[in-house]
Amino acid sequence: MKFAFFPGCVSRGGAPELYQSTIAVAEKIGIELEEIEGWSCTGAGALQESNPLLGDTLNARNFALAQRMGLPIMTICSTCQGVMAQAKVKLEDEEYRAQINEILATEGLEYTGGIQVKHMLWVMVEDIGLDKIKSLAVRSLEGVFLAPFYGCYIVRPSAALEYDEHPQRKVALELVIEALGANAVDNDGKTRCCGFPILTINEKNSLAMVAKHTGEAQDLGADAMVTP
Amino acid sequence: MQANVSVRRFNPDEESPKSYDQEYQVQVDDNFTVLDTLIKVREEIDGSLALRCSCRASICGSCAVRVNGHAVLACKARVSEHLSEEGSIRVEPSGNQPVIKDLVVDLNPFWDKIRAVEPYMQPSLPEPEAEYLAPNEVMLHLVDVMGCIMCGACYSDCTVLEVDKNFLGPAALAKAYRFVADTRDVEDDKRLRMYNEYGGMWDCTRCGECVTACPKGVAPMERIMAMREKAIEANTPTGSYDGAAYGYRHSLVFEDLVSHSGRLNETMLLVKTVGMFNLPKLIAMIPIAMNAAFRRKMPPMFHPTIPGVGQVRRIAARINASKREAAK
Repeated sequence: MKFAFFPGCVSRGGAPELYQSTIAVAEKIGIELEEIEGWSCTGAGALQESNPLLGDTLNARNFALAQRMGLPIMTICSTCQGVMAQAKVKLEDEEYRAQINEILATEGLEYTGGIQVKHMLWVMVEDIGLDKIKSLAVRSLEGVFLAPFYGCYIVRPSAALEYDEHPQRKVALELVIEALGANAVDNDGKTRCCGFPILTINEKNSLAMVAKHTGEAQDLGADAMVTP
Repeated sequence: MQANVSVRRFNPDEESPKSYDQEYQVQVDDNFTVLDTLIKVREEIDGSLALRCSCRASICGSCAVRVNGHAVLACKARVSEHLSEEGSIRVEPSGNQPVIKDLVVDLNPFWDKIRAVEPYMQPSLPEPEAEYLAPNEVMLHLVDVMGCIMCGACYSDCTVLEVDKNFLGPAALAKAYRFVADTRDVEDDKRLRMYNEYGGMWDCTRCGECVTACPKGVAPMERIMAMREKAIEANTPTGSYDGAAYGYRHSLVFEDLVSHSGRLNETMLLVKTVGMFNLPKLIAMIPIAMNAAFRRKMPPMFHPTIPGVGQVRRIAARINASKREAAK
């Protein structure tokens, strides 16, 4: 199983543990990763606020690069996954895609539509399979209580994220948690917002949001929270 | 089929009123909506259940409730689609609003916020001899926004309202956009300045709950983002709310950094958003930076550009040049 690997800016910046653990785990569970050479930031929704066309073009460029490799894209970040999924939907419009391809053509690139963008969490559940994951686990997590927290962009909008075709995505984190022997701690906040996008805008609200969810998980007896 | 319906009850007339969950076993048909089910409960099992409803056809906006934790129109949601494997469904009043009784909430805060955005046309004067004209494409664009039925489902599920009741909320801001985007309304500058204030468009966290909750395709979050884009483009003054100023800078700096190196430099994003000479804020961030550095999670200040960065720079330059042309 081979994927065009899209690490995303933060896994190469403030969350290096994400990148390192991805490489280590992918090897163990049989995912071959070829990093997209020259991948750029997706815009994370923030760039799209001031320049949506640039955001869509950058993502079309990422898709074009992956298509050149002949591989589907694998993401490891909820935000990258969501932003790319939404860009993909917009780029299914032939007229819009043609407009963007006009810009990409000046760089010798073309996106023909239909790219597959899958988060590693979904690859684990849908492609590798929970039985295989279970069999590869070396140390059981029995007795460990883990609260899932998905991240807005891997949950909404559900249509762009193909939840209708893959309904098990709604509980993918819980499935993996349980496959590894741990207890999934159901919590009201699991599909809500951590407040990160407004950290610099309204720090009080942002921290109140994340505190609400970490607090809830703690109150429910979780040893840790797990995000995709 | 049998549905086990759990309803959050609250009776203000009790001596020490407290909310509690009451379970009802209801026989429902395959095509029953949640509203059909609740009405059946009220008529055949428990006449004391209080709820709002009217048209039963998803147009009056009266019956917004939370089903399994998410806001829906009770008359639109099919029970069969929301039952768990064990045949259970949970119904609660709309979120973020004070509960009057059972599933009936106080909508006054919601209406106050709608009124606060000046939800009426402010056209140019003097009035024309005939009607005010609006281009067809403008009105087509606004069809979905104008479809808002004021049900409050978006308001119920807004994650910012959970922590800050001062936020205007998705419905009010979508309504605000309806007028900003209508070319017959000429008070764009005044409006955008108003919505730049605390509680306005910059307090949205971009979580998408409102887009999911809306039964009419209004997509409030997308309208808020469109207004942000407009305000940035028009360089509308940010007024007294620092958050708006940071919001502008965050977006523009993000674009700048990615256009230049192809990847986001998180440290520079933070520094440039708060302002390179904003000493109090920068000094306040030192403990966080130290903590991050200690845990080896400090993003590098200067990081290498991506292979093919020239492509990104040229693409960005091309797009921005066309934007400038179009603006002329």
